[in-house]
Amino acid sequence: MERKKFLRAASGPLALLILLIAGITWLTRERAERKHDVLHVMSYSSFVSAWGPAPELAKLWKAQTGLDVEFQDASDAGLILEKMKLFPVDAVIGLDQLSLDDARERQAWRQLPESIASGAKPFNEFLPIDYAAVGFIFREGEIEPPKSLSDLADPRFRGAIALQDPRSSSPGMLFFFWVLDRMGVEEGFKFLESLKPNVAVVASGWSGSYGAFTKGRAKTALSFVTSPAYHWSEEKDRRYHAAVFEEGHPIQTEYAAIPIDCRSCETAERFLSFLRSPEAQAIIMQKNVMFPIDPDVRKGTVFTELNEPQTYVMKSLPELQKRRAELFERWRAMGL
Amino acid sequence: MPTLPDSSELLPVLWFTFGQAFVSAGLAVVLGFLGALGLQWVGVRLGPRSSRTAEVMSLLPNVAPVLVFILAMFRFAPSLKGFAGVVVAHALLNVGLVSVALTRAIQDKLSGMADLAWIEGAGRIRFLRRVAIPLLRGEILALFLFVFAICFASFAVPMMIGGTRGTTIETLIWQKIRLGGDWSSAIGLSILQFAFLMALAFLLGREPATPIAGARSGQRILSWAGGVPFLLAPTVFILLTLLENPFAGLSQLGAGSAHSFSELVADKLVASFFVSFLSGSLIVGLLMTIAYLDPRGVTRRLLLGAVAPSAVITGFAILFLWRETGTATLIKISIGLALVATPAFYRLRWDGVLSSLRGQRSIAETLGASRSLIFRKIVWPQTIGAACFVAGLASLWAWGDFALSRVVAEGDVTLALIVQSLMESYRLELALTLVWILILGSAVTFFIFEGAGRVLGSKSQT
Amino acid sequence: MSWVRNLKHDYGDFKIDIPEWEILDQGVTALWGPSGAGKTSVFRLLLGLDRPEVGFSWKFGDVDLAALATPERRLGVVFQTLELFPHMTARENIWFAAEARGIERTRAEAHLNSLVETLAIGSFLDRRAIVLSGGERQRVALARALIGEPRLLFLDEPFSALDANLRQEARALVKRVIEREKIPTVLITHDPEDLGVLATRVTQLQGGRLVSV
Repeated sequence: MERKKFLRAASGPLALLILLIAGITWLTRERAERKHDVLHVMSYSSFVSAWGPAPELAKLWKAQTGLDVEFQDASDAGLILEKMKLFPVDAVIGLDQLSLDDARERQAWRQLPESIASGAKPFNEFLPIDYAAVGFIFREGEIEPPKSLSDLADPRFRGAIALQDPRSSSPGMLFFFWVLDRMGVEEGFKFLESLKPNVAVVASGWSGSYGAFTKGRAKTALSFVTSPAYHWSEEKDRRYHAAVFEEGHPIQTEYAAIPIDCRSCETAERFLSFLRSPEAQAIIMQKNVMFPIDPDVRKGTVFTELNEPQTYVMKSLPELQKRRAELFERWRAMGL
Repeated sequence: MPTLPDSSELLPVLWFTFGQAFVSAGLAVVLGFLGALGLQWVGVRLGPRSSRTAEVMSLLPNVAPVLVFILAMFRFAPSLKGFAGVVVAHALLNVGLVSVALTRAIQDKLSGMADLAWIEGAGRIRFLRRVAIPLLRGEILALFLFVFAICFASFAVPMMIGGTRGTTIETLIWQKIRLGGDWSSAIGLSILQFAFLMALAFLLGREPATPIAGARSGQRILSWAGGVPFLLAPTVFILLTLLENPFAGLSQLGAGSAHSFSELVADKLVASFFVSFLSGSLIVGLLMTIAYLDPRGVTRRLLLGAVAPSAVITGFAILFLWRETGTATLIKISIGLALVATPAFYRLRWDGVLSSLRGQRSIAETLGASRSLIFRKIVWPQTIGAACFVAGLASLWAWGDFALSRVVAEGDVTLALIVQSLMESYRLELALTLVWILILGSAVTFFIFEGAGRVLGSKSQT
Repeated sequence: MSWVRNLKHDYGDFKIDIPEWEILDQGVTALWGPSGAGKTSVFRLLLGLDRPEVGFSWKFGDVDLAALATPERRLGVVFQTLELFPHMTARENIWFAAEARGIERTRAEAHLNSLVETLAIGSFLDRRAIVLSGGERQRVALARALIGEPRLLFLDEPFSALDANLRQEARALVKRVIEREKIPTVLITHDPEDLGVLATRVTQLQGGRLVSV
């Protein structure tokens, strides 16, 4: 009886609330239909933001083709595949090599035509648009930079290293697999264990660990070897450098792709090939602080002065990827 | 079908999540009590204006991005890591809110008595033990639940301060969605979070005691200068971190954006105001609806234990239901924030406010008053002030939110999102400079809601 | 004559069990007992603020009050805590009850005037309830209970919050009002002195049961 009374009393305000929300929805309904003349491209936040490459790319594309492109923020790169289910788009930017298998499993992609797919490896659905090796950034004069992975365990780095968690960050995952591939799983975990006193922070994302580093809470941070270019060109601060490891560095490559259910598919293809044009590549390089696919684009910029270390190829990567869940659990339990 | 991960994966995480949330909440309540004594002291010694300033200052940790606080922790307590570090960080992050809510509860319930006890010469400790704590037990438990719920769903603090073992259920949810789009596990984990909080609410959700009516005046016995540091320490840490390199941000100013800086920020500032006002107003609406219905028994405990699922899941749910963009995005964010915040603020303060009116409701009912007459004449005039105050607190959250906003928005639509984007693209110093605007804006909104509460409250009383 | 029958409720730590209880049509029916005897629980059950698990009946003339919702039972109540609405003036407090019962305005005004006179509340009628003294509050609460022209007046420990010297005066006042208003009253008290001054008939409650009539 009490409940009935409550429900009766509740129904009025509830109905009002639903009406209100429905009303707001109706009033604000904007073209839920996508405009056909606009190309919709989804990427991660920092690519889409005012400081990322997206605004200038859109301007250049408009100037060159007279067409509009609208960038959609997927938030974290890891959410692109989820958010595009709700907001179908013509193209995505920001998949990396570690997520390609996953991307193929969760979504069907359009085969790229020969003309632009020549650079597309390992699958011809994904077009690389920039890359950089992961590595450790330091400020000159603060520490003697590490020379190899195993050197990171040296006592001179006590409390100095900022890392990212492989479970929530792509560079973090690359570092984790780098260690396990280079040293073997068992030895790799032993090595990580020995890193404990040297680790200042394991952040969930790049911004946390790199922020700790730029704010002086850590002396070296896991990032990309291209990071110093930002400090050199934007802040005119030449103290920042990337350490070069003797075993080489694994590379993070970012890809663009076209989902199978694209609407302006031909335009999307044109857009992808536009992304590989020298002008677009220059914008991506500057704004995303990554290497362009075409080395010539670097000419005349600080990017030519960056150390480009040898590439480290992770042979056991497919194997490690398969064991991901188990390895992550060991990573957690280790308590780095 | 929602599923759960293997127990070998889940149990240690569950244990850590629960343990840190439980201890954090306990510590936050203890520190918050001391902070409340400090806030009372400010009010008694320095006057109501100072006390309102101290109030909003102590709430700063709820506006500034959590990374700023973590950086402050690294600076001022570099060795405080692991479980202890997580607990201290969580307690400090919430001490302001707890102090402010507790101070209001003390003023509502105990002011007349505290004065009386002071005149009669009761010792402070004795008064606390015998009168204040027993009378405030309901509120204290509600505050415990409030902080517990926040820490239970915490993400950045446990990981950055607690290390890789600082993995919470929230981390697992994020991981499941991000790597492999495993929604069934994510939702399963979310249900588990929900169930935990419900269970706790049913265990702890005792009714707050009825207040002792009395005139509101100086509460000397419950004021203690020594409480001020507890109240303001987290804020001071954050301010010092923001001031570390005050001009570095300006040097990052014009550089590297396709638009002029002021043009970019002006837009987002308006949007942030809009979101904080709309979400605050929606919260007033929801709280007053709850006040109209006056939930008791099981319904009340359900509300006490209700908690919104993780920001990713809530965000996707909103997007799933409603895909329009443009202004609709801001409305979606506001509705999302209001829905997430309402149960939290019900725990924080509303339950206590409503319980203090139970006696008046009973008498009005026996006198023959209908529900709507009771609402108009009794409930509304005596609660609208508190509702606006709570909405003011929630509007602070809205200014600082980037978790839910990020998922819902199609770009950097608010100031908090710009701050986050700047941090993601090497411009931490510029982001920290913008945090000042965030703080100022949120203080303005808070005072507007607070002021509206005063005006509406006093208007409906004459 | 009004009969309460089969009033039973289990509160967990104690039980109310009253097979039959007569409330007088005139004068004051007192329910007396030590604290913890269950007086307030009986009071809440009769008012409908708590619901007994088995149905009881309460014949008042032709009406079964137990079947009605609280507002429809038309009872006037003074709680031990008085529960004046602190944000309203004394007049607004009283007027609220008239409005709640939908009493016609001129009639309510006339009634208010007579209550103001009997209870001597004219001097503080427009003061906020929160600033009134204990005795003043009590008189306002009484006026508020009566203005709605209730079937029955319920008084729950009406004098316990007052100083000893005020109590004597208050009892006399209540007695005068009840007589003037000619309203049957249920008085709940633990104080034997209340009984001497006010009660027409006394029922004793102990451990949730009526022990002597």
